[in-house]
Amino acid sequence: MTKIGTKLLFGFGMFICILIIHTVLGNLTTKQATKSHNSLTRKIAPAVKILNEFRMENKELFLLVENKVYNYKNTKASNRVQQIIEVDLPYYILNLEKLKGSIETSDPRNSSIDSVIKYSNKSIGLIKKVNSLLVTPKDYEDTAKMGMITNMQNNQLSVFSSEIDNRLSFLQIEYNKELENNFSELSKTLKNNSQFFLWTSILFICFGLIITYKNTLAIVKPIKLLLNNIKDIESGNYENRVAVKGIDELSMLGNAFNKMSDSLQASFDQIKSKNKELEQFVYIASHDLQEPLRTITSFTELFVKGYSSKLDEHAITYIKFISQASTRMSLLVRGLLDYSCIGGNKELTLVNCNDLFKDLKTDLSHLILDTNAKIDVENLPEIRAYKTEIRLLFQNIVNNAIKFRRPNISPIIKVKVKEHSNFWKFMISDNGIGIKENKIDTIFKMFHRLNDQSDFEGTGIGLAHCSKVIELHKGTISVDSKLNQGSTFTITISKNLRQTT
Amino acid sequence: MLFKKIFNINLTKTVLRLCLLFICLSICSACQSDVKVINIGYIGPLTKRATDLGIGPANALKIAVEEYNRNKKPEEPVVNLFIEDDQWEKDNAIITYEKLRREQDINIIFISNSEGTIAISDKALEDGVILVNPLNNDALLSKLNSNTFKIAKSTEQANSLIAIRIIELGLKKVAIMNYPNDFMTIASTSCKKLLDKNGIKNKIVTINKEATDFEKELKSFKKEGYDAYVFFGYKNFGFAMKQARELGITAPFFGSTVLLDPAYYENSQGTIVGTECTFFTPADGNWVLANEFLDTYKLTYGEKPFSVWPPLQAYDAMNLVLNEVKTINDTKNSDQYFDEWLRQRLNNVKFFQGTCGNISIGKNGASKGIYFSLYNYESKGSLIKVKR
Repeated sequence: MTKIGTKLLFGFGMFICILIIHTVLGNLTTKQATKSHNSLTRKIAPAVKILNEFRMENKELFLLVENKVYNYKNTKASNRVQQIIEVDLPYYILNLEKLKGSIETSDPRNSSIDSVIKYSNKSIGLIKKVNSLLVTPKDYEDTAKMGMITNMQNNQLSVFSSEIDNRLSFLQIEYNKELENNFSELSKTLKNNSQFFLWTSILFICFGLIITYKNTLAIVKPIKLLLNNIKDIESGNYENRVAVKGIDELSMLGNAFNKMSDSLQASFDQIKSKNKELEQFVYIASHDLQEPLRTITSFTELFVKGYSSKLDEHAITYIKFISQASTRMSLLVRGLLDYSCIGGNKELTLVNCNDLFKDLKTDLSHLILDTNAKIDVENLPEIRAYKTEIRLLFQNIVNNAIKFRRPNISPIIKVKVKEHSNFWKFMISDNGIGIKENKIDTIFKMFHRLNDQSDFEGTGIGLAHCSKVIELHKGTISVDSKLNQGSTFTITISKNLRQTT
Repeated sequence: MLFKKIFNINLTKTVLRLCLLFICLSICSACQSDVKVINIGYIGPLTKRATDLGIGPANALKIAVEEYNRNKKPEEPVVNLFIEDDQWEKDNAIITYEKLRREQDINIIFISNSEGTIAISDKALEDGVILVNPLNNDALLSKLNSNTFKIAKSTEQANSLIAIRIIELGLKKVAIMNYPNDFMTIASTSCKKLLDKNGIKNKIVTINKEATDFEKELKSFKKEGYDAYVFFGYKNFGFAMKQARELGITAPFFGSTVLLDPAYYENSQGTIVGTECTFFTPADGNWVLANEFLDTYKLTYGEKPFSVWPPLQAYDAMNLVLNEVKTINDTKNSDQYFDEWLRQRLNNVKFFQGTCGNISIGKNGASKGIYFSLYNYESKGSLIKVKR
């Protein structure tokens, strides 16, 4: 296999070659037609015209001279005779000489042309003699002179004129034949040319199309293959590789792509492994931290119960701080533990979102009653998801919506859904305190809190949980919020989730 | 890259160099000296004498040049025409020729006057200018150098018709009054030659150029019993005709090709009527082309020329020359002189269809194909062909 540049060069080269061949062949056939046409218009047709005119003028000349000889009173034609012998006949003779030069020596027309020229020159000479003899009326009265002139007229000029006419007649027939032959040849050539151009054009177009198709296929096919692989990688499948053939640029690109895929997979595996380790660490750390914390909390309580009477006010306050900090730390550790457990179950099931929200409302019934919250849920679909995680996601968002309510305003939460070809789009809006625009980007980060602990209790882990759940569901989470007006969380969940191990 | 690898040539540089070469060649070929303009001069009698041989031809030449410039192809040269008046004097012809050469750098000169033609012919050859006489064509002019062309009727042929007519009418004694210039002298001589040949007594009397009184000569002719009077001259011979009739001379009058000059009629006070002369009308040439030209003439100048043959001949002569001039950029070699090239072209004209008939040019630069006929002066400004 050759390189793409070579392929394209080959393709264009072929096209140019075809074009050149077509042009050369066309030129050759056109040349033939042009030759016939030129011969027709420059040689034969003018020859036929000259012969016709020559023949007519020869007859006219004979009649004019005859008139001059036999009718002296009719001198009107003298100028015409002069014109014919001084200008017209020499011109026709000159043209016949040229005509003779254009035909082969073996051509029978040669001798006829020679005869015409010979007799024409003789005629001219004879008529000049007659003109010089017949000048005045007296000349017509000279019987000896008239006898000689009559003799010249009857025995010579008539013979010359007749010979010229016969030869010209023969030449006319010959040239007319040639004219007809050339016309038919030209017509045939033009017809052949037309057919030749039609068929060669069709042939070359087909040939060109095949070359174009082959070249296009050779270029487009590997690109398509590459695109499919890129899509696979995009959807998380790092294992597919491009089938590489040849040494062209696309094969090189395929090789590079495969290497990149290898490297990417290795990195991904490494990240996955590190992530696992990290999760393991978080799990172990948070799990193991629970025990000392519980010990601290228990002993702090026992300490308060047993020694509160013996402690002064300051000591009791300090002990209370320790207890509160231990509880908060316990919550944080619990949160971390929960975070590390997300996706641990990893079992995709069909989740009825209507049921999910129903359960969620039941779980949050106290809070809902306390805050007089209103949760408006439209008919939701059954989706394929990780049930525990997706429940956690919605619970966190609804919980936040109630928690971050505006003072003296009952929370109103609306849950809407929109189906797209590849994903579900959930929109959960509230009328809470909203989020400052410059803080929106940070809310999904771990331990990030926008409000004081004294105003709103919490660990800052909830939305980080949500983000991780969404990641698990190959989706996106975003928020659109206006301060003191409310927020809308938009969540997408892929429809094409595949069970991962 | 591939190209470079295979041929070890930088494709871009090579293409650029080829483009540069192509541009240079294009510029060079464009710079080759195509002839863009040809200047033609005309010298003729526009005032004083024989104006019928000057004004009409000048107008005809203008029409021919305008038609050429209007219809020419882009590659054919533009033609400019410059007209000068010589008052039918050879000395003026030399002066006006020098002026045209100096001021307009003319390449071709047309001139009506035979003596003027002779006077400037050597200068024209020296200057590489082609000289064309569109009115006269005779043996004397044919002896001039190879740059001189005569695209006109044969003076000898035209005037010998007068002699033939005299013989035909059986007249015995012919008085020929001759104006002293080459054209009229040739006319007189050719007429005399034929009369002599046929044994008819004749006498040529050459008169003074400015003479208006011919009584002495006429009385002498009457006394000697001349029965035919030939006036080979210009308008002043109108006075001679009048005086002849006043002297009681009833013999027929014959004249040359210039009788239609209105001054001729005025001077003769009508006695010119009945004079037979040689002339040329559309019927003597190519009737269709000649009438077409005369219509154009009338449309352009508001009236037809009173004497048609001078403009007809001049129109043909100019068209014949222009027919060759237009090929200059195709047929002239760069090393060829202009006059050498045009001389060769004109000498090879064997058939040119003009208003006066089919014209060819011989090796001596004289045309063939224009033939005059015998006409009778019927009434003022009107001639009728003589039926014989």
